Amino acid sequence: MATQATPHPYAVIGKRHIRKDVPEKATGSAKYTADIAFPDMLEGAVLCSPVAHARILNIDTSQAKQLPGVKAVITANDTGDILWGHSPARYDETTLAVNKVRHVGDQIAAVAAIDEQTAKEALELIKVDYEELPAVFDPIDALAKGAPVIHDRYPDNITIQVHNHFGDVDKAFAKAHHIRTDRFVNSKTDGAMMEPQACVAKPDLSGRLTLWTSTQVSHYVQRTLAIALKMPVDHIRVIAPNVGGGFGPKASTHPYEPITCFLAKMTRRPVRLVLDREQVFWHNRARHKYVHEMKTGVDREGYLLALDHLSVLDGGAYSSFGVITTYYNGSLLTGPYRLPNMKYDGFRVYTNKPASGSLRGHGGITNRACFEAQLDMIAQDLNMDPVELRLKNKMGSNDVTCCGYYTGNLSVGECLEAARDKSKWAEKKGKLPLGKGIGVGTGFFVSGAGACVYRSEVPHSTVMLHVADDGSQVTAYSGSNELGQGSDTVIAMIAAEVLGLTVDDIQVVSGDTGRCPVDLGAYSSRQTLMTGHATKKAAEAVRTQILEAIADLFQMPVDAFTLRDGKVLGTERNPEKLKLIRDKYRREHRAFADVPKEGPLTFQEVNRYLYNQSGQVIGKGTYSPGEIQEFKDWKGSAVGSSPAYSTQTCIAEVTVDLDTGKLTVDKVTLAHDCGFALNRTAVEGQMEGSMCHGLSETLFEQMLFDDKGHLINRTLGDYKIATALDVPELDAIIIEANEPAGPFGAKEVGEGCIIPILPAIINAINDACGAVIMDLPVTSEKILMALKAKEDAKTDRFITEIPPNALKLLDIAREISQKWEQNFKK
Amino acid sequence: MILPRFEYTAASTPEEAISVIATHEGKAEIMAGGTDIMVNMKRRVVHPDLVVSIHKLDQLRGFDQRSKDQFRIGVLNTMHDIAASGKVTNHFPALGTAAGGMGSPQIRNRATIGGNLVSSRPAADTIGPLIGYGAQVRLQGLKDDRLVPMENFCTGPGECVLFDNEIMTDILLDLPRPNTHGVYLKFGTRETMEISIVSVTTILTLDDNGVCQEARIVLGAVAPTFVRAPETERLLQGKRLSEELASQAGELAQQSCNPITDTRASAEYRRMLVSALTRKSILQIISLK
Amino acid sequence: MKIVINLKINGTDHELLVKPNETLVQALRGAQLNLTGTKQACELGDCGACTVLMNGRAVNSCLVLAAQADGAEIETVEGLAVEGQLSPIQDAFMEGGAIQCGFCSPGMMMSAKALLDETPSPTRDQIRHGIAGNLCRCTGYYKIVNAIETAAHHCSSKEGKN
Repeated sequence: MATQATPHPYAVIGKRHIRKDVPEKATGSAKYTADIAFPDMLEGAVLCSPVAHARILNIDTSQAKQLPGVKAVITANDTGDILWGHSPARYDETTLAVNKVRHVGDQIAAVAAIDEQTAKEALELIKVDYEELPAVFDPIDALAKGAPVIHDRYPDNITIQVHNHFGDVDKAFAKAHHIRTDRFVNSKTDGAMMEPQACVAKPDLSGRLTLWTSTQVSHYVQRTLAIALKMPVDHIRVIAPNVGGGFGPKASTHPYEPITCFLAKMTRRPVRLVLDREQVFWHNRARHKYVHEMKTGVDREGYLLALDHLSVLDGGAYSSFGVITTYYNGSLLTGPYRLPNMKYDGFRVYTNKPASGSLRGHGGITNRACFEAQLDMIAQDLNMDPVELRLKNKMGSNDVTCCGYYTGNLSVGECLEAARDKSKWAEKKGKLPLGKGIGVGTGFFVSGAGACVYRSEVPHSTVMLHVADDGSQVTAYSGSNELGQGSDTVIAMIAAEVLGLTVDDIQVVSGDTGRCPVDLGAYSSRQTLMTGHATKKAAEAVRTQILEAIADLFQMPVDAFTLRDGKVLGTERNPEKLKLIRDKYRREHRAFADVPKEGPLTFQEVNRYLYNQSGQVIGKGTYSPGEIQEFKDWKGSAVGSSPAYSTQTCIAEVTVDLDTGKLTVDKVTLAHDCGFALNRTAVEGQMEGSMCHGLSETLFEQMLFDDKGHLINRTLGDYKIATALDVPELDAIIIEANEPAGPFGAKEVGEGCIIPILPAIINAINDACGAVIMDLPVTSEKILMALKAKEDAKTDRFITEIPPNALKLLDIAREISQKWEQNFKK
Repeated sequence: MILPRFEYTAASTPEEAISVIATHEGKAEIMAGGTDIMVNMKRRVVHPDLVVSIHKLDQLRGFDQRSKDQFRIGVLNTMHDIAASGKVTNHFPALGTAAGGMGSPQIRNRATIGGNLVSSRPAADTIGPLIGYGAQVRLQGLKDDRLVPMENFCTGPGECVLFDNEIMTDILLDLPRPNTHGVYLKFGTRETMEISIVSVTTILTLDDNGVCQEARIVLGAVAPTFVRAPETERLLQGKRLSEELASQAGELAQQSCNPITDTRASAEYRRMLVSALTRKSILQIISLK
Repeated sequence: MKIVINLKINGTDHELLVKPNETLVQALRGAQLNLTGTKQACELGDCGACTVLMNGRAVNSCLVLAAQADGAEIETVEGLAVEGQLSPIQDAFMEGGAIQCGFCSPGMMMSAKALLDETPSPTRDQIRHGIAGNLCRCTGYYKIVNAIETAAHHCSSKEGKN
């Protein structure tokens, strides 16, 4: 599926390019963290807790230390009790467990040894005495009176509660023509990226450390290590080699990183630590398990009036990104439809399971699935076409959500219409035989977080461009993280576009805190927009230096010159000046071959000239989100603010086998507004992959725990993700709204497209057979049972109910919210 | 995930393999393709002192027609070998389907039919068709060998009648009568790399008028071992196949299973699948004719 | 006790000393060979990241004992290019956007090679079946299937010319 480009004036961007990192990956020579080796390197291994909640009474490492080949065994006695995490207000993790473990898989001790076998055998010799504590695996049990306390600081086991109320929902409901209340649950899922987390830590003789790690956020890891290791920030260098997928779980520091560093410091040797797949599951930091209750009111014509949204997140044992998730869970529903009144009460609860964090589409997935499924049911209730209902309610460009988000150029209508027309919706909706269905969903996501972890005006991205002294190459230095999403190539393309060069002329050094200026990294879909802007500014700074120097030399105005095709156009107008420069250039160094005899000065020539005048040409660009649309009362919706938003529409066509409930997704049509497709192939790739990730999560993915908190399906055979035989036919349409807040109009693509496939499938199943599955993953058993229930009830539509515990959980959450509201009003 | 420590040897003859495992009294494990035992060792389900590879034993490979009526399949044939063999898929189509749908291409290139049978899992793909086709397996011991009907080979999940000092060498099948049709249906979550939630093997011998002369129906993953569906088989015997008969057969087949509820499916759903798949398998045979 | 094995890897004969419990992927990636192109992602044969060709057949090298590879011919991703010239599969993957994070790519390309060696002009359905044992979290498989199709056309058109 290749998308069609719209006409544009650019030489480099907007076209298809082989990505910079791809040739090495194609030959197998690309190095990932586990591929890195040093002659005196040790292998690390970590002892993980077999119990879900326990006090650690004693750890006896003596036998392990005596095993030949073991060079270090560490516990919290060595790593200390410094708290760190993602959100500073909720730092609740330590490098190794201090006094207690909080989930099966929590890290207790670590070993460095001469090889992996010895290290793992040493783990078996570590004796831990536990006092098992009662454990809670369901938020309902964690919130019950007398529940075991997981973190002493949070005796009610609530990580955070968010109450964001915009407008007046009660007034709005009073005027509504139709009100629906629907509930939705999903399952806890895993990132299942192909490359497990891995670290190599290497100390130098002065005690400074270099850590190679498979991360999305070199900068945040560096900062966190400084805290955890009590070292100055710049004594730690964090380098992200090639990274085999992140998707969110690698967007914050994980305990294995400081563990590896401690082992390296203690042994004074390089240490490599590679997680096995089970440990990847235990670390998790992926999609929360949510319960949603949404009460939505519309007027007679189907215009949205109000949404009252109550939600509880099962957070697992640590807060991770969960504070932010809990906010996004509310705020990301304020678009892409006009929603004048919204009340959101969200809770994140600690349980004794691996911690949930941020996974692709962070906080915008299950709420969207519930809301979009509900919209379809509203459409059914009002006898309206679901696409028409959405078109009616769409926000436009330069619009503002009820909580103050500015939409910029947002193409909700264009996406809906493009998907509708391409899929031939009108010919199919309501006209398919029983068992075949078509359904729609839309999405809305940030292009970078408007606010970051630092409570300051820190720039979110800085890029430095350095031109070689002979002008033959430009190197871009950016602390951003290439995960395979193509960010390095975006940097190269933007720099090449501004400087009139080719992508091959630009080299990119990224993800290395020791070589690159700070960039916050790859999360919340920020790099195309933010790092892109910083790159553009840095390239413009280089261009300005070049053009001003040439203008001065030629005694002409700056705007008489342009950089294009590797040349400085305009210089050809003064042949005598050209000859002077060229003769000097030729005489300077015989190795400067291929000096043109005629035509404009080349980029190389002009940069050699500048170098001779004033040294290396260096350009710097920074980016901060800046002033986002002012709004008087943020009410915490700063989380969700963004310089720009993407939107997307997905239409799914399905077949339901009415005998077995088996679902086949036959075809998907996906329209995504990315502002401007800088690298067309990469945008398509992200759309395709993101949609499939969402499809996989809808149909297959769930983490299953037993009653002792052990993960039952902890292999990639039992935790299933989509294979090549599971993915449907796909028509992808790139919509380019040209976002003014984005560099060359570009905004995100990596996360938005995972969102609408979930509701599109749910709605398509509803269309096919009247079963509305509000419980993910959608399994064939759930479908068949819903069909059976529908038949027994003799109705046209059967909506699955959420489990009784989830209902009770909502009751408790409602009670707490009401109390909060009463106190607030006082 | 690393393997535990063990010693390794590659046997040059079946007798050598048997002798070695006999000497080690249960502490040695046979390895053929390794796809099963390697996983079990990595997950610490088994931890032998010695691994005895039989991959060099070419006499345990190949297919041949022993006589006019008998067909032999060597245990070291991989799933790929079986699915790609025109002879096997022609005579025993349900077995070809089962082998060709197991695991992934990489797994099928290594996993042997012997390993699949010895695993004795209630969801092992080739067991159902071999029972359906009335296969026997030859087990060779220190002194002699014995033939065991496949139907009696598995005694429980992961358990079989193979002694510690025996290896399986061959699978023997009678060639099906003319006008015999075999279908293997497997139900899972994804389209590949699935362990059956339920499997149904239906092998029907028809006469020229489409009347069923003999029916063998084998259900997988719905009981501790594979089970036949005798009432369903009796229902079909002597009747002309039809959609209605297929539905009745499906309903009745539920009586022959005793499924559990686990994380993959409930017992109730498994019963429903037995019904649906039995019906579908008969409909598929109707459409083949 | 270590075992001596002799095998051919990407056309070159090697004699290696391996532990009995060493897997083929460990031997390939280890210090004797340093062929780190083949990756480990799941270690249990569920994902195909470690796919190599063993006597022409695609296998999960995490489930093969190095000792069992004695006498075998192994092909890894490092052997796809011949004297610096990328293979049609590699070219097609690169140009077609079939590589994102790249972690599944070595295994994926080896499965593609196995498929095209056996079926030089596969249908798209055959291609999907050929890579059914290789998980990818990044691409959704679309551009991978396209790339393999392109590689097949390239190979067959070359043969046509000959």
